[in-house]
Amino acid sequence: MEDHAIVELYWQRSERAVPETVQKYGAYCLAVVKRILQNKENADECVNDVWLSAWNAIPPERPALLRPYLAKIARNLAFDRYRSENAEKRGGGETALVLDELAECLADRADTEKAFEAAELGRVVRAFIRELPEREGNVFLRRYFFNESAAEIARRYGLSEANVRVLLSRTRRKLKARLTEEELI
Amino acid sequence: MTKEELYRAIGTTEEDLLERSETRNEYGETERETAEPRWEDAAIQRARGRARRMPSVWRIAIAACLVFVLGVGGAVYANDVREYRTAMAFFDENGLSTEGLSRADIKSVYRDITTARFTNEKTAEVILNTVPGLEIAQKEPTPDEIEAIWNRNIWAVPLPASAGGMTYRVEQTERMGDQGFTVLDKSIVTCIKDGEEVWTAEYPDLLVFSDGVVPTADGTAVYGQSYRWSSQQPVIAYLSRVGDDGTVLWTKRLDHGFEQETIYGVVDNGDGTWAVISRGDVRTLCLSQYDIDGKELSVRKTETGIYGIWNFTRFGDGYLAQLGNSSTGTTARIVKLDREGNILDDFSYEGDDCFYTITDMIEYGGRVYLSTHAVPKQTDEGGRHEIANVLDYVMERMEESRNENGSGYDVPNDELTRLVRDNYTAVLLLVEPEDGEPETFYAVKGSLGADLNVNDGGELVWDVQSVTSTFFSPMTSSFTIGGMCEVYRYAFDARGRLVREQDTGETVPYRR
Repeated sequence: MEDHAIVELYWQRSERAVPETVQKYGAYCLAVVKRILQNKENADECVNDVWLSAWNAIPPERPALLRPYLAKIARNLAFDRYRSENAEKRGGGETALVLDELAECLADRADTEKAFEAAELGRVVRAFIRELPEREGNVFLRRYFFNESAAEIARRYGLSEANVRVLLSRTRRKLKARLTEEELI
Repeated sequence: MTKEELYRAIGTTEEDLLERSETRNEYGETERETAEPRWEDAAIQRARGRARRMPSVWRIAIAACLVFVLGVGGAVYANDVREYRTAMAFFDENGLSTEGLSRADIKSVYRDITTARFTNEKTAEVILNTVPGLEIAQKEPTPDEIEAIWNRNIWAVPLPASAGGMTYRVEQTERMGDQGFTVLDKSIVTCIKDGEEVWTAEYPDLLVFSDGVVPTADGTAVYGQSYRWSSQQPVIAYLSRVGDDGTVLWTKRLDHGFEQETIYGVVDNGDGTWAVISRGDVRTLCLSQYDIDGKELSVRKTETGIYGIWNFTRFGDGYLAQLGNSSTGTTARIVKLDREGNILDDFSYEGDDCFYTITDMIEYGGRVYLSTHAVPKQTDEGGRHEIANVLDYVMERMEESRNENGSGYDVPNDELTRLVRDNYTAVLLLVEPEDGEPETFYAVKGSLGADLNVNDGGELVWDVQSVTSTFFSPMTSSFTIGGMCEVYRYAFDARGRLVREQDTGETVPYRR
């Protein structure tokens, strides 16, 4: 079923909206969630929470691109759960690695003063990603939005793993420079 | 700033960029294309230098061989790349993980699934790892079982919109956009009668909603909105009039000063004018009137809070609109509007001991009928305001069983069905124009109220979904109860008398 038709089912409050979404994007959302959460039961539950969130959000939302819209919900929910479950311990898996890599972009001072609201940070990061050349932007998002490994990204884009790591490292440096320039760090 | 905050900030990336990243591009090849010519230039120059010294017959023979070798090799390479790309796109489309798979594995799994063989052991691994919600007890599932799981991905065909004797089909076509992903090309509205196409109208770059087609005495009203591929773009509402031959007579952009405006309903006032209900910038309810030439006659904007407009119908000299917000459990709030759009009355329909959810609304015989389902007020909602009591009961039984027997207890489906049937009552409410307060008109136990229509014979038809089976899944946290309903159809005459009850033989799923 076309995405527009699925969104229409949500707007009609049709019971078929969720099963149609599950059929089309169930596996996709599970893949997004599983890259953040290592535990299968947690991932399954989190994906079900994605459907509930989508049901509650549409309407009033009318997402133009359903797949990335669901991916954002899934990522946020999975990260919330990751945070709550790893509050007391160092987390394993790809998410911990992703977070440690992102720490490179930040100042060394542990308690850097919060000069801007999260919305401002989001605005700068969004603009930064949009201005990146397509290849760098895509590789950055696959790593830091979707938590994919360098090997997966390399396979996706026909690059070598070393090439992916170099691209990511270069983009992180650029991001750090941008955040510094914007006085966010 | 913490790394978690940065991670969350990346999570706000616009949808179009995320979608672009899903598209497969062989950047490695792009690199080869830019890198190899430098190497090739030198080689070609050397070859050319030698070729200049060769007799022409040898030059032709060598060139022919090169063409053959490069042609065959290139074709093999190109086919390999094409199949790999197709396979990867297939994996993407279906959310299958490529983790741990080689390039050859990916292609073979793709072939195994698309040829419906399901015999490759990697296929089982991939499908079982990525298709959610199903568990297989055996260690080595059979190809039939793998196929059964995979076939859950068969997509259903949407039901067409229908009104009066006509049926309307709304479709969208897509094209590859400059952004590198597919975007809306156009919406196509088709009017069908007795299985034959009567007319077709096209709307380039405009998203027509599947319920955005309303037959009126003055042609067909069609509504939708501008297509946007990013949530950062504005939403512009459009209203259009189509003549009886399918000619688009006019398309009008609603301009009520909002960044985002969405039309929720259009009703024919019966005097050559249409009333349009829309919502602007999420919080403002907007009622505007148009003549048949698309001229705006009036508009009234009222801030009502964050509500969707779930139903809209004529009511006496004015209108009734249902405002809903499922995240706050607002499922039965009704506002009464006058012709100009002023809100005259605003009430939530709620019984002393039950909640109502309105699913459809229709004007018939000068009165308004509301199709609803009622559930008893729950002791502990916990976000599940319809089935909290059922879930509590199930959980208690499981706990008791665990304490007594040391093992879990599976609630039999027939017991669960009985519980759910006791929980739901389909109720047809009647609203008289004088007071606007709904009153119970007809009730069916164990059921959910569904669509209301007027059939070709001028009777009011109310569909009721009777719960016939239910299952419970403790594996999930959100949608824990689901099952099937049989659809019964009740017909009433203009005086409100029940004239017919029919088992349609149709079944529909439900989930809570």
